[in-house]
Amino acid sequence: MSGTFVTLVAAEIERPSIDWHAIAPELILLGGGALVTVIDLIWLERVRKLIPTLTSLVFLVALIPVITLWADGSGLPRGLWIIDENVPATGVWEGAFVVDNYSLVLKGLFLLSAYVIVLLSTNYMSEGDYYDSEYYQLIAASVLGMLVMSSSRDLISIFVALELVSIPAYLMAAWRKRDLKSNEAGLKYMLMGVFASAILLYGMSLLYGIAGSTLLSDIAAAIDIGESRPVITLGIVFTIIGFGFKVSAVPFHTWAPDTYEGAPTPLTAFLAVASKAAGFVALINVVIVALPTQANVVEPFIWVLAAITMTVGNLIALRQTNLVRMLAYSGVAQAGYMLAPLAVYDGISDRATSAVVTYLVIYAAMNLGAFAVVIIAARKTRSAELSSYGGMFNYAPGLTLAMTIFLFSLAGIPPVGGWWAKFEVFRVLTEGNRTSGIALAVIAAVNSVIAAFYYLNIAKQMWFLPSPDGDNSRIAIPPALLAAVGLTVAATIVSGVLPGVVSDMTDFVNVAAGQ
Amino acid sequence: MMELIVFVISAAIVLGGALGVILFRNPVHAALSLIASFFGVAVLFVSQEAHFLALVQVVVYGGAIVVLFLFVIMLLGVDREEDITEEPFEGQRVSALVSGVLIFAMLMAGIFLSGRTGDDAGDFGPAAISGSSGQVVPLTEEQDVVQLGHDLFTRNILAFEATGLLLTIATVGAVVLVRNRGAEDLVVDEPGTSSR
Amino acid sequence: MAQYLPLAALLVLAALFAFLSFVGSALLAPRRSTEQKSAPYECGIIPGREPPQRFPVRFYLVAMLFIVFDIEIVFLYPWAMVHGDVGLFGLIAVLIFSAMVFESFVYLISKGALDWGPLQINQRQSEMVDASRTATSTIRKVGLEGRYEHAPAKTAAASASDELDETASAA
Repeated sequence: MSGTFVTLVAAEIERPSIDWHAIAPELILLGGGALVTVIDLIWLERVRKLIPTLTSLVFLVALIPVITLWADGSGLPRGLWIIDENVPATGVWEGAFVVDNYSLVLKGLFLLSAYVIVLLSTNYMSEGDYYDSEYYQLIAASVLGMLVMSSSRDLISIFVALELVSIPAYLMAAWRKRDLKSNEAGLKYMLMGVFASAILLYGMSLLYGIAGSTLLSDIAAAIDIGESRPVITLGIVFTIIGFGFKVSAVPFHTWAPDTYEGAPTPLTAFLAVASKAAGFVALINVVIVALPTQANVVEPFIWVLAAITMTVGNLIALRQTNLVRMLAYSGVAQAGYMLAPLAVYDGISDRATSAVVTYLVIYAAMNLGAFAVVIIAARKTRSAELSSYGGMFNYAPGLTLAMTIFLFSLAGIPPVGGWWAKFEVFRVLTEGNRTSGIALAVIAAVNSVIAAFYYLNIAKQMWFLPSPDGDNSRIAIPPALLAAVGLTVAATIVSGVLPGVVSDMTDFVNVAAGQ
Repeated sequence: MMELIVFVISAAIVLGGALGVILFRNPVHAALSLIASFFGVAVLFVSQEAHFLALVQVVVYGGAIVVLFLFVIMLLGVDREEDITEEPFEGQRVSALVSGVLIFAMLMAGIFLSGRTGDDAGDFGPAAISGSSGQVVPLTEEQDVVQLGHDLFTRNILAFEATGLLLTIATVGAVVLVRNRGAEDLVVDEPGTSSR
Repeated sequence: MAQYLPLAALLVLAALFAFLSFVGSALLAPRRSTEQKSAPYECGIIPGREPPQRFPVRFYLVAMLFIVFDIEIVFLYPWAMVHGDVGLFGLIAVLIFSAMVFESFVYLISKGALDWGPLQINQRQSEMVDASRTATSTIRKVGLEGRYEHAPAKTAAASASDELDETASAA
């Protein structure tokens, strides 16, 4: 841009031109979100019904540059700027924003999940007395934060992206304003989230203090001293704790069940899938890019977190009678499986990243599907209690079948998606033949068996038990929700039957070196 | 020497203010005590020659944020003193104390075990840092705000724009949480005028 | 060290002034308190009811807006200091930033969030409350006689707004 315009001051910074293609997804989402807001502000009530459609369109349009960037793989990894050797002080421009295969897969995941979330939300929001156009604007802002997060390789942008993901989510958790449970959900989530942010910032400031730079690659270079130091350890542990809150790892999961139960159910799906994935992305970025040489600090800590997360999550999920709470605790347990590859990432960071992202993709499909069924069922039964699912096979056989697919997937039973996600995790855990990895694999295997028990219990309830009130009238499924279930069922089955489709996408090379 | 004196005084103000926040019974006093703490931090910023940050600390934190706190206190009722002798949860105080002490011990251990500069050369002093990464921006005669501006408009441009979006979200969120939809806004939450 | 001496002197003087003011007024000021003097004063009229203990939560908006624009200014300041160096690019970046923050202001106006009077631009049309009411006709009529017969038959879609009306009429 400089040079083509007459500059007022001679000392203007020489600036490389912006790689518009690389940041097109973010720009489309930002511009589209602003456009939808303006449309809403001008026509108000008259376009109220159109807002969800427009928002989902924005998500789909933002997906286009993600696909073209993927197809145009030769230029990857790209950055925010087109670096030219002639521009001085190149270092200032590089590395904070990276578009590579890894971030593109995640951007696609976030945009598609957001699309499904809008499908789930449409009827829920229009039928209650909610501020609905604002809801979609906040979803768009939160998704924008996720897109920025997947490309951030810098502490500052990671933090800002994390807040951009979280703050709209705090607000949306309290969206049912007249319901005390929703107020509690929002307040608990915000207080714990802000507390986590404070801890995270403390850890980040320690890392910055050690390295003198916020760039993750600079931090990696600065702490590559062949040993660990107490200050480095403190910085790492605090940072991981901060992310632990966001991904609801035990013992930082205490907000999750109450928030999931009190928040509007579509938003619960959003928190359980997209928001959690964003936390994992941040964790992966920091661990893989900034801390490759500190595995002796990171691995034991994440090992313990993963082990207690999956165990505690599953044991508490066993005792739940409310399906949303059960899914909340099952989500906690699933976070444990997703953490597991990061407990053995030393030397195989690309494989570990692939395993986590594979799990995230498949988990998004099956969990969104499960929540879609919960939302549909609640339209008839007005309840998320487990007993209210009795007899569903009699009046909604298709829905029962779909839910069974999701439950089998969550439990990891072939041939539907979940088994491949778990298989990838186990493969990474056992790859190096390390005692710690194999021990964690055993713990994960035991947990899978425990989890299968309560997942199949739901299926049993739906197939074999009578409905509690004898009401066997059919459920009217609105088209948006039907589309959501259709999409997630298809994704769950395809990822299980043809695992190559997912694993081809998530076969990353050299995530850490992306500059 | 002078720096040490300034540090000790302002650190005492910071800690005293922080203690006041949790010990004062009247919430307004607690909020005012928070201002004292913020001012101490601002002085520390000045002594580090981060003048712009000191200004922001006073204007945004000491001004706006505390005003927001006072607003919330007013909204909840000023003259209700919290009874702080009763624990909200069983064992909360004890566990809070234990974890506080543990974190303090952890931080102290981290700081003192990591070798201060000067004691053993080659540790984590500024020299070691700039040697290892080469990315440290050296302190120049430029004002800190100019450095900040350059940083804001080069590497952190995306984060800067994202912050603008965050501010918008904050406004939208405040409206959504505070106002009611529809016509009944005026009578619902005003005590005295409602016939309820 | 000596250059800080004026500062110390000023500090002592300020403290002394505050101290002496309090002592002086405590010693010199006459104190003849009567019941009328300590009663709450409200434009000369004897207050009819206790002042409300809690303020409406809507005032929170004002504080929030203050902070939002305060922080915007904080970000504009570094740009003002370096605008020559960062040139047109910086100007555009700041304009995008400001447009986003300004959009929140447009939002407030459009949604009627800054309307404090009885007129609501964005109110939903309701059988219960006449949208044409003005500042001179806002006396609320209490009681349900004859007010609910115009209510439309409940459909699934309309039930939500009816719920709002019900809470209103219960009030």
